[in-house]
Amino acid sequence: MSRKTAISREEMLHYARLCRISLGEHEIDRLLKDVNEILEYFETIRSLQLDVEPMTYVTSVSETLREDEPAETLSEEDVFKNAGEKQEKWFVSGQVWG
Amino acid sequence: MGVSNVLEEIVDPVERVHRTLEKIEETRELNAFVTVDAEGALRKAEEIKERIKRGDKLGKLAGLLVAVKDNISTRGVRTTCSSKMLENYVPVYDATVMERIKAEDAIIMGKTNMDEFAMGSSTETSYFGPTRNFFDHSRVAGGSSGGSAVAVACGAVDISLGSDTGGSIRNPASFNSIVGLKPTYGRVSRYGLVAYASSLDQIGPMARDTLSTALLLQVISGRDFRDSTTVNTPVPNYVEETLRKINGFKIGVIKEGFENVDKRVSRKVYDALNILEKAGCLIEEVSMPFMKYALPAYYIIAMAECSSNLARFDGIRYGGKSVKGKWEEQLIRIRTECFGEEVKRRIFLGTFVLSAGYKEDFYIKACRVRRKIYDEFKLLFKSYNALATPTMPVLPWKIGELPSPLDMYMMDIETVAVNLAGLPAISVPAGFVDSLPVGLQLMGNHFDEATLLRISHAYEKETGFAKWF
Repeated sequence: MSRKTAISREEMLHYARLCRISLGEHEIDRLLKDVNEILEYFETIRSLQLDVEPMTYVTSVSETLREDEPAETLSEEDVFKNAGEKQEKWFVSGQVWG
Repeated sequence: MGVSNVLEEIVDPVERVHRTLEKIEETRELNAFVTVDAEGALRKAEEIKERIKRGDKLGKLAGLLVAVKDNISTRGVRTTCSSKMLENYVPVYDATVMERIKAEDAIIMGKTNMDEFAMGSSTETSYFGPTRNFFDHSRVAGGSSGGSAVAVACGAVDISLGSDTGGSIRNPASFNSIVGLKPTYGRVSRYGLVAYASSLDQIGPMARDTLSTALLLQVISGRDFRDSTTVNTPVPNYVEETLRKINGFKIGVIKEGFENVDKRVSRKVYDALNILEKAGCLIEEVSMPFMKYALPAYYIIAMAECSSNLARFDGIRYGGKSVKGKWEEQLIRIRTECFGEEVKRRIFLGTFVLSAGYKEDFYIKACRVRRKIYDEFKLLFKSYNALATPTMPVLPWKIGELPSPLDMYMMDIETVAVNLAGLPAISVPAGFVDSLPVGLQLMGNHFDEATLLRISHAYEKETGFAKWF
């Protein structure tokens, strides 16, 4: 059975949706070509049989946790400094429901 | 300018800042800076001048001019990550490295150009256009810390900060004939560094000479409770360490690191190793069979982490975008308009390799390769003080020359393995081919930056590379 990964146009639109990115018609073909070329390259490690545990981080965080003590936080002015829009003490976002 | 002549040069720091501002203006074509903080630099220079007059004690970096990569948060100074997404973002706090260099009286000249969100190997993906190579303006500066490298190479600043996820300090250092050091993962705090791939990112120093590199590393290193991945390992006196002799050092030359490399580049790197041999090192060839799997493993892991890290960019809390209408539609519109092509490609691929049905085959497999590479390195460091390869497989290419994203990824073939293993590595100028710079990469054991600096310094004494400008 061939295990080679290649994604279709429909799958690509599905993943783009998961990324919250929309693709213009002219972008789809180019991205599809690039992505499949890259995935083909990733195949080089897919078939490796490895008997070791996966490594996600090279250091352990267990020794370096600090005491849980109250500290200063950002001022209200600073918190909203880079906001797109604010109303009183709230960030304004688009309409989430409905 | 090196550390040794700092004291003479800071006689009038204000004058120096004025001269540098002119220099930045003259070299504007290089596109090294995104933001120049003339006001802040002059203010700091005036303060230092006043304190010299009063005879006050000054910090370790007093009077040194510093450029900072634009993904390092600077309070009150725009930090764009060279992205439209953060075009107007002004941080309200300093990264830990900024607090540390400010406390040592550095003069911050400004923020440097980079690949968008550090995703690239040439500074060509910047929203603000590519940075140009100092030695040939038609060629790339390397990346992603291209601006930080060129700001040093063109003489605008003495030292700079870059960040390195898969080679982003060493690559542009090599392409512009300067020294660039990627510290051990956990050596330098990442607090305030805008995350690309959190398990791989590390901030590090860049300079024309080894001692300046050591000095900046000294200042930024050490545990930080705001970054729980920093460790408590003591910080040596890197400047003193740098001056120590290297007789009897064993350097392993990784043979796989010379496959798929431009022969002219390989020759220069072997020449550099011969110089080190004459300086008292023992040079031996070694093999790292898993090195060839480092690149795909690196890209899978980096993309997976980036797809998660960049989910925060919705334009609501920072980035200052208008978010009227339906939330999800606006989110998609903002991300589509404000992320560049390479960033979107990596978010997309990262999402894919983490998705159900593919995660085990790609992401988990890449993490297993990561452990194999880690183990191979650790075994070699039982017998060798350092390992060597070229920093880059080719000479700096023409801007726009590489045909596909995969061709660009292949440029990181020498540099990514140490990021996976969390090891320190340095790129040292190794000469020129057709007037274009070549870099020698030296990799060290965890928290053994000192050995890399010692070798770099010994080689610098033999060749005088800091004066190749």
